[in-house]
Amino acid sequence: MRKLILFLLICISAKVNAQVYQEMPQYGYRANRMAFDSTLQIPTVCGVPTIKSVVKYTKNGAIAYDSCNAVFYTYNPKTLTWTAVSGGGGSTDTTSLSNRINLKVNISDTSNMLTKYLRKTDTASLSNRINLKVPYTGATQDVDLGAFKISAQSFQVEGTNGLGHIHFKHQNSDATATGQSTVLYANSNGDLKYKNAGNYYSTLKTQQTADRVYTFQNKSYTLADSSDLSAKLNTADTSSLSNRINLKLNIADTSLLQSKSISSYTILANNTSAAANATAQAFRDTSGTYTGTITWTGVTAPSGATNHSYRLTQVGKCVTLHIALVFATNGASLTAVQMTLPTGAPTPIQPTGLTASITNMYPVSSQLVNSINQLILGSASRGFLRNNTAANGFEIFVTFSTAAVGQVGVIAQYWTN
Amino acid sequence: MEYIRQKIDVTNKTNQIAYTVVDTTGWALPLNEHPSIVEHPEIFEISEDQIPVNAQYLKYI
Repeated sequence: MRKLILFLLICISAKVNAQVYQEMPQYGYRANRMAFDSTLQIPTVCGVPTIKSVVKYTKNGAIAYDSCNAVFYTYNPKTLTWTAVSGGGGSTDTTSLSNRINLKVNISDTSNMLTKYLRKTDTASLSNRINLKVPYTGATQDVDLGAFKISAQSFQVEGTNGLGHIHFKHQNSDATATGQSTVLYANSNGDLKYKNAGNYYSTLKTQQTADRVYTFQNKSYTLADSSDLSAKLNTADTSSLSNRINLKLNIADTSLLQSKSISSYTILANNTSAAANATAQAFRDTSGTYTGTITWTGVTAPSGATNHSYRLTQVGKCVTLHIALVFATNGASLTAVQMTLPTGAPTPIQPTGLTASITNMYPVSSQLVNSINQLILGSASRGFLRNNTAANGFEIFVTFSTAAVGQVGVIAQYWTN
Repeated sequence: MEYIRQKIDVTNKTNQIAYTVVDTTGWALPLNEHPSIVEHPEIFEISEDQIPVNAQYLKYI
């Protein structure tokens, strides 16, 4: 039994040792919803916390952390309400900042504050110097330019209630309306008036709508405009002058007469069956030394010094041509001569059917004489203006019975385009 | 090129002096056999001078 009791005591002792206070674990003591470590971990909720325990909830305060909104809450057991902890952020110092700003100097105060520090010894001089300048606007005193002039594109006197005026003084000592002084002004109608030294008012000119030229008429110094001067002009002949001018040809009409320069080798004519304005037609009259090609048929061609010439006159489409072949020495036993048209002669129209080689087109008149030109040869000559052998040009061909020709005269008339 | 010309006074050969060249178109024989030379050697001669631009021509028959 004793052993049993001993055993029991030992066991009881062992049991009792198990209830001995032990040191906290290394990482703190944990209670429900709280932990004590290097930090204090408190009840954490999402949103506004609530009291779940009913123990002394009207006596003990509480804290909790809303991890969803990062807000720390305190519980007031008196009011039974949870309140988010605030303060300590950016807005908490606004009052302090405002107070600090209020302690600064206002910028509006600086002029008064700094006035006593400004140097004012030269202000009177500056003011005087400024007063000597011509005021741009708002002048409050006379501007004395002395002998200097005002130079501007326009000069305007703009008074108030009819007081605008220009005051002319003969000299500076003349007072207004006394001595040699005159005031020039415009009344409410725009009439130009003046008041002289005798306070005598007079109208120089009434207001005009058109530009006028004013001048002094005589020693009365009355101004007169151009309408007044018209009576002084000699206008007796103006009507006659006007009529005479009307009878003249307007420069714009000269083109209708077509009497000015016209094209070369033209003449003005009316080639119609009715009256009409003249139109340009071909015209030329030229002459000179004949330098065309001459071809004789016979035994001996005329020789020696030559004095060939030609003249052609064209009126419209008709051409008259004269060629004179002049030699100093007669030829012998000749029966024909042909000559090309002179340079510049109009191209003949080839009559219908007369276009082939050496086809005769227009008859010519020809005469043969001897070299002295005192003997008309008896040989009858006949000739034509014809196409040349190659049919690419024209020539005058004259044939005659055998003769000793010294000179040949040919007149051909043909038509051209 | 040789051709036949009517004899002239060579000392007075100007533009105002007639210069006549015999038309030998179609003549295939030597020029010295041309009728102008054969029949009237006193009037015509063979020349190699340059033909002036204002020369006249003669169809010798």
